[in-house]
Amino acid sequence: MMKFIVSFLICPLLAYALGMLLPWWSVAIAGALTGFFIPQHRLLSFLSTFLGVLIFVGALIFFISDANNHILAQKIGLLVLKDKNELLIIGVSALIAATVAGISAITGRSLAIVIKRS
Amino acid sequence: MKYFILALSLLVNGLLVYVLDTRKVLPLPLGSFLSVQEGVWQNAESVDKDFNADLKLDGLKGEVNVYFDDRLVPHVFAAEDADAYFVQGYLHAKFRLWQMEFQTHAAAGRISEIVGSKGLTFDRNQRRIGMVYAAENALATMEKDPQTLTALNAYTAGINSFIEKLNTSELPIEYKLLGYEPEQWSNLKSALFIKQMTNTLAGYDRDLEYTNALEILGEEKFKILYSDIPDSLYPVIPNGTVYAQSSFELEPPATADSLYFKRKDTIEFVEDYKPDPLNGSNNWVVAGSKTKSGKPILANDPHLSLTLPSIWYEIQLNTPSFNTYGVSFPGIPGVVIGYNDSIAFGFTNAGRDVKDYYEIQFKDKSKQSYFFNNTWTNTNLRVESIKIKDSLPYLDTVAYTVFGPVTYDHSFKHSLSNEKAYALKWVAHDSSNILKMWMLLNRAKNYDDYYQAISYFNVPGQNMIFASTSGDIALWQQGTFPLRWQDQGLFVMPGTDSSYMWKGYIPKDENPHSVNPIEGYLSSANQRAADTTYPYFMPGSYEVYRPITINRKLASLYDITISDMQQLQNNNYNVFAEMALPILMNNLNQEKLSTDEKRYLKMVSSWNLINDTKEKGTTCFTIWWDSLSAVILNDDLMKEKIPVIKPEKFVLLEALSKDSNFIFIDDVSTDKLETLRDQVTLAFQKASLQLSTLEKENKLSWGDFKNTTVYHLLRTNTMPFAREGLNIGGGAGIVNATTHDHGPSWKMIIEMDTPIKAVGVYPGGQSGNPGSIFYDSFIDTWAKGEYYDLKMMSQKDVQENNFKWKMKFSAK
Repeated sequence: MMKFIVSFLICPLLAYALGMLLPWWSVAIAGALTGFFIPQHRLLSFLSTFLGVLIFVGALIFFISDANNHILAQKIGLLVLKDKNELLIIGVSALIAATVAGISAITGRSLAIVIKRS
Repeated sequence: MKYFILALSLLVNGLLVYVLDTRKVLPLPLGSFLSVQEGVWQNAESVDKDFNADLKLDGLKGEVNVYFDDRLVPHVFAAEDADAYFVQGYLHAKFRLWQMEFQTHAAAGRISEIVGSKGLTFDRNQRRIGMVYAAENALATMEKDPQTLTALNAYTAGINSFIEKLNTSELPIEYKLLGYEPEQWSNLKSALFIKQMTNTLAGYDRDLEYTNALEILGEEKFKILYSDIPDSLYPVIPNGTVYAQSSFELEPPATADSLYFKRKDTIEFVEDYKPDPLNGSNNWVVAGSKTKSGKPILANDPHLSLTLPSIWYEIQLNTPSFNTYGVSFPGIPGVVIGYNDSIAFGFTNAGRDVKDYYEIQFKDKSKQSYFFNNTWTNTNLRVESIKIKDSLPYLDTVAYTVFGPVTYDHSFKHSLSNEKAYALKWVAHDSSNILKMWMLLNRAKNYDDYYQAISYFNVPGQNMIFASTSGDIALWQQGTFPLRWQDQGLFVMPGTDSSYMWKGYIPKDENPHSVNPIEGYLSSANQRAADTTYPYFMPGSYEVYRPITINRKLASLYDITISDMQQLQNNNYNVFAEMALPILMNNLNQEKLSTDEKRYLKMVSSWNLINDTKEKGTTCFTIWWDSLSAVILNDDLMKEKIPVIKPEKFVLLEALSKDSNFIFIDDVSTDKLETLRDQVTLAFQKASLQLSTLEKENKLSWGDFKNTTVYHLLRTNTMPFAREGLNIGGGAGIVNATTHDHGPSWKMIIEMDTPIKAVGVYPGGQSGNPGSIFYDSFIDTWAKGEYYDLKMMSQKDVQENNFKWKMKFSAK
């Protein structure tokens, strides 16, 4: 359980830190590193990083968008999803980052398993 | 198994990141576009954003303080003129970078770099009308003048100092949407911006369509349908003004009758990307003798495509040498329409034709030589390399002749014959320094300074309105206008010798003008500048009806206040309908109408002639008249594959009001001889079909039918960034010239009292960012016909903290 929580917390923080220097795919690196170094079942690796990034990024975007009165969220929602509901576009944005983090965590974990066994 | 899982997860992982990173699978790279740190969320500006800043920048000479009011209008205080322009450049870039770069890319024919091959025809057109050539010529002249050179260099440096510090996450949304990054600004880009405006305002011509209409109609009928001098003309310079005789002998060449007026040829391609003929404006000034305060009041509202971000950016520039407030163009330094401590200035478009086509005979497809004055003459070949996103560059060879660039030849549009081509002669290609005019106007103290300033202007010809605190009012139609013999340049001219070339330009002092007229007012609204006694041929695309309403009002008003001028700018009276409706009503055979048609008739017969949004009569009348115009003229004019342009509205109106047997009334495609009564009734029945459809869609009221929309510059691609369905009346030919997507792009009224009182508004906002509350913050005020006070900030205001944010700029 501890590992799950650490993974849940560390992945989004690492993604954010890397994101200050690297493009958007830094979230993939953060996911992979978290998966690689925190030994747990692949499924838990996925779930912990996915949920961590989903909640962290979702909250961060919500915070930014709320300060903006969701003016832009509604416009981007219409542009990308043909739906002006701000929660939908915020959710999709967070989901994209979370999915990338989660899948990358599985990759990182799988690599760790291969290296360790050999 | 573990290797398989690793391989599989790597594959899925790689694919996922690729799909989210590229534009090749999804239309947008959603990974970066929706990223919290890099994507659009970084453009979601807090509604409480703090714009205070303390910036240390290379390139500044001293300290500059910028005080923003609550509308985000900057008031720039600098000790050096160059520093004021540097900071203007920085602010333009900070708030409007994408639009200024996009518009100058468009001017230079570089849109394909951004949107790919779908921009190629547009880009080729821009190169082939010589936009870059024109900008280079202008820049050479601007850079020879120390004042404009200093301003341009400082302005460019200011823009670049902003761009250099810009990181990917801070890029304006449009860059993220289209997937490119800004490049360095240059003085050439400012010149390109000027040429883009020049094309917008002096790029409309009808030579090719007129050539076709001449062939279809013959000379006599052509002159009836394409007259440009209406009976109801209210010229810019009042009727009865005495003009000196021309000192030039302007006679057509001996061959004109056979080679020009009776030319037998048609041009079977459509010219794309013509500027909107509605581009125009209103301006007027009333002298102190007619105002309540005893001081002149000047008003101006330029009519352009309504866009977001707006073409205008409000600003005050204050240095020890000048203090000016108004609107600027993101793209060039200075204030373009506004006022200073002593004078106010504004513009409307002259609408005069300064563009002609010459038919060229190339020796062969290489375009290296053309027949001119009995010899094969070499062209200058300019190879335009057009970069295309995701593709190899397109090389387009444009031949330059003694007239100018050959726009249409066998490789572009023109398929009639391989060696025949059309070269463009356009005043916009001449070298000039129109920026100097604004430099001097911003600093002008009186009429003499204004007169000196406007002497620098060549194109696009403008009606330049002026008022001073000392009580003078003036209006000059200023620009470089070709000296032409009667009807020269209406049609394509022979380009095989020099006999059809322009004989020079009309001396600027002979341009129509008026200073302190006894009537106590002056106005212009894109009508013909002078009556028929003006000694020069002045073809153009002119408005007829707005000036009538404006002149009626200005003549009848006394004790005028700013509020009266606001009402006039927002006036929705339809003077065209006042004149046209009686003809329609008197010639309608009501017995032939169905119950539904009678219902529409009632809407129009009970209409108050005012184009307010709730009026259904406006829609009925507008469609009825258009229908009548088509019923009467299409059979005579419209031939397959031969593009023509419809005659001006006044032609049909004035013809029908004088002669109910006007020769075009009969439909030549039927055996019957139709009367005006037949045609008016048929037109109404046809209009009713359209009205019935509109009624079903609930679009019969003028506001719903017109659906005034301020589009984003990317038009229908970015509708969420547009503002649709604005509740504003008006229309073409109405003083409030708001149509579906075009109209008063800035409304300003200045009273030259002490202190000067000024109000203004534009349909946009100071920020170009769709994620800012300042993106469209003025639009509702504009649509309601309301205004903001334009407050010239003083040092006293600064000391009393009458501002909202402060940006301090100092040298590094």
